[in-house]
Amino acid sequence: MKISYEACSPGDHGERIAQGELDLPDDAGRAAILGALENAVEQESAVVPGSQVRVIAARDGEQVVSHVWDHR
Amino acid sequence: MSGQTFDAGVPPTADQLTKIVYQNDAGVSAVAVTSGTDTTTSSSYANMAGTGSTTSFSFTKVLAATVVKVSIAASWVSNTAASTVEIGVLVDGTDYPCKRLPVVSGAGVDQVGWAYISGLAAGTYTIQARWRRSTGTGTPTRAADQWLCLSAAECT
Repeated sequence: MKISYEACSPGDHGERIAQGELDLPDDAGRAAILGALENAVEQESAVVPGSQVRVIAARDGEQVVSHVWDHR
Repeated sequence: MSGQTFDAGVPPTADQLTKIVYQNDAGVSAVAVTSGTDTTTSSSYANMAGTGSTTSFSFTKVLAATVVKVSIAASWVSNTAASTVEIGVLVDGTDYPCKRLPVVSGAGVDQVGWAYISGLAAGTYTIQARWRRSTGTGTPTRAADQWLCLSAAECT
């Protein structure tokens, strides 16, 4: 399944810091999806270690994930 | 105030004054994430989110001298491992923690808390539901079965 994502710094006016698309196995579970999203976003140079990141991901136009974490 | 009568030019009695109840209460209730999940593993407060999920509301504080009591009830599940989560509210740029709760892996909980906020001038404020994973390695998750209730009231 293909999942499109967009990551931004938190808050109502968070700056967009990454966007892209992942191709994951159709049977990927929630934990696998979140892990893949974190790995993809953290490879972006705009993401500062220690900062909080929010990623919104969608499949077929429907949001499947809103996830927040601290960039390692 | 019901059951009390006032006459022009006659000051209210002490008994009448103590019976005055002023209520200004607003909020949102039974709000679910309508698509996908809302998760956080951040140790810093983040807005609750989720498609179709209202996680904030506008509150107008009428009086200057009152205290605002904000109440929050949020359901969530600690997926993959145990987590301790703090829920709270963001008001006028400040986070107010309301309740901390440790939860074992896979368990779902209904977390309830409140905060008393003093020093807010009269005016309109956004009351935003927030949460953070203070300890643990689980993934706190809100989905369609996890609802949010959030309210604010100004009190004397």
